[in-house]
Amino acid sequence: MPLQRKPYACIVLGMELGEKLEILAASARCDASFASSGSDRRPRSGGIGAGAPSGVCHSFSGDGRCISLLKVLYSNACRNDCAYCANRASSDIVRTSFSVDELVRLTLDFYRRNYIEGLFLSSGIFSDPDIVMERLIEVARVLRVEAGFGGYIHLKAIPGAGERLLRLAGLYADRLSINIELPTAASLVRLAPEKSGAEILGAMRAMGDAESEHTRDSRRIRHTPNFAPAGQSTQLIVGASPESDRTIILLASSLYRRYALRRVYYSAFMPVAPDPRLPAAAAPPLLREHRLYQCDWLLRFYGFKAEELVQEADGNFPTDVDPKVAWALAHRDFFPLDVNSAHLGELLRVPGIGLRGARRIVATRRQVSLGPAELGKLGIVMKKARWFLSAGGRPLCAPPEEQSLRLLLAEGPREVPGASKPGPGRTVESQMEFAFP
Amino acid sequence: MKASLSVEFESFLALALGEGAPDSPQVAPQGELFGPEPRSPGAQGCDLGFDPGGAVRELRAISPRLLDLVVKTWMSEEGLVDELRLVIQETRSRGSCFLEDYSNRAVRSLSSARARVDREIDRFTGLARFSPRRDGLYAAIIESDHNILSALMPRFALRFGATPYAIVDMGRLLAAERRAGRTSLREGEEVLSLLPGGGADEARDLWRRYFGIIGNPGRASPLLRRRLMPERYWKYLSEMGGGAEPGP
Repeated sequence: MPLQRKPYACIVLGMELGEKLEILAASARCDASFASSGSDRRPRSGGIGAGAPSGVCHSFSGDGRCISLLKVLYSNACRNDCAYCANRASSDIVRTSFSVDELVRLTLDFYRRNYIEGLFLSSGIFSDPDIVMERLIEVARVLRVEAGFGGYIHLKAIPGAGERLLRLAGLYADRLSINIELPTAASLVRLAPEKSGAEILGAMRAMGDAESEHTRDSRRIRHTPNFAPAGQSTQLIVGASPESDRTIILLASSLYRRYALRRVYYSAFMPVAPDPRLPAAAAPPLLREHRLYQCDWLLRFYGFKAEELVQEADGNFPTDVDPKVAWALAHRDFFPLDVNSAHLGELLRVPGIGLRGARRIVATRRQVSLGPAELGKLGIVMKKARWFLSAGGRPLCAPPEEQSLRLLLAEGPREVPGASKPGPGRTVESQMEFAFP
Repeated sequence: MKASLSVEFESFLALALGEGAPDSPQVAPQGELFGPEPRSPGAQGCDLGFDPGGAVRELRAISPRLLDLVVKTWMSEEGLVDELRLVIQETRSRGSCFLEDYSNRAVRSLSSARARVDREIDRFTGLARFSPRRDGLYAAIIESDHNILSALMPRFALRFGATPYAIVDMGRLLAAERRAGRTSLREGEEVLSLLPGGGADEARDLWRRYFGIIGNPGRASPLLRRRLMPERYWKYLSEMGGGAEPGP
């Protein structure tokens, strides 16, 4: 029993289940992922549950986040001492662990009452990474095989766990993820010395390779088991280290491209304990996190490239306008676009036109010629879009010079705590980039 | 077993197709809403010669989206029969691309109604709270803006597998119960027999504790939560102080 053999902290055994749940849920809440989408797993005969491809929100927590999964740690005992983490070895917190049976029972009971879509399970590294990974896999195995559970399971891959275990985990889980944590290897060395960028990227590559192999095999062999059908994701902490938005978004873009990640999550850094290695941020940089998500959306659904999105000299997104408006303002020669002839990819670059709006424009203009009146009815945000569109060869609005237009499109003063704090050395681009395997 | 939902839908369909409504509810559920079920003995369908099954097949053949629009418009309970009639006529003559002509007022009205219904279905797919009863049935109470019971039931069939479950729409005094792969309807006072049981539930208490801790205090945003989950949905959410009403 690894917990008793090598106690890295004082672990409370025999704790009441509710107390454990509170401790191990609080330990897991810094992980941003709550998604339960991307898997359409069918129920097993005699079992319960199935995947919902578009995900389901079962409640919303006090911070406004969708609650979709039972998100907990298996154990919050950890031998690593990552500066940004509440569960780090040097933290003076109560340590505890679930048993496999407790987690299985909680998941099934919550699922039947429609509280959750499934389980999100991570863990502190309380022992050898392989042993920790085996415990997580065992929970998933019991749920899938013994309880016939067809709901969603998201397992965290433990850095340093063997490739064989990662491949096994993917047979039970809908999604696998491993957190890259920080945007550069240099920051990782400084803030999470026990973690290795190469090890994390190696695990991502191994999971990506396994996914590709299973996809390939399933085309030839009918009963090939699913491997993590909702793919893999990762998380980056924003604001704990000095990297710019450009560094972060270029890394995210590389991860999407190289390892076919489904999602990169960005988590605004929240100080949990004073540490000289960390910036003295008074509040989490939520606006910065928001801008990164907007940019991420533009990468994944709007056809933008990471290289073209960060225009500012300091490598960070502007705070007054969103990244799409910033791009449009920097590329005035691209506009105006004729709303009756521009193709979908071009329309998606117009501020105020989203995916649904662009599709509606393309569908509707097959029936009628579009003008400003029709666009307003299609759900286009004309306040933004009118400066960038034309119809019948005439611009919808004569655009003013750039600064005036920027003021017109600005989101207005927005008090987001900690949003505009640059942080120590944020503009310094001296950090070493990850060497991708 | 009551057939009111199917009858209501068939009457609505007849109006939308300009066929006139049946005089009296005589048609048993047709399977579009609750899976294939046999017609009750002696049911003759509509005396006016309206064949709801045939109408549904025709709409589906024109476009599955048109059928979806008709069903969701009915669920919305917003009327819109004139708009629906116009859209059906135009789609019959111009093809399913007419459904994408958002410059048309009727298409916009119906699309908006459908979006509201879809949103309500999605919300209650997550917010319906089931409680176990002593007889093994898991029951949930909802009070929805639209008549979405028939859309919700199949969504939970996969979740519950062989476990029997029921959803009670308290606002409309309608309920659906699924046992052994068959769905049956109840209405009026009869729905009370399907209400969840009251009393202690350890899992519910654990859920409340989990909910109380999972939000990140450093990012607290009660306004955002209220926007995403308006207060009118809290009544039966145990984590928001609501809860299932005790059954008989």
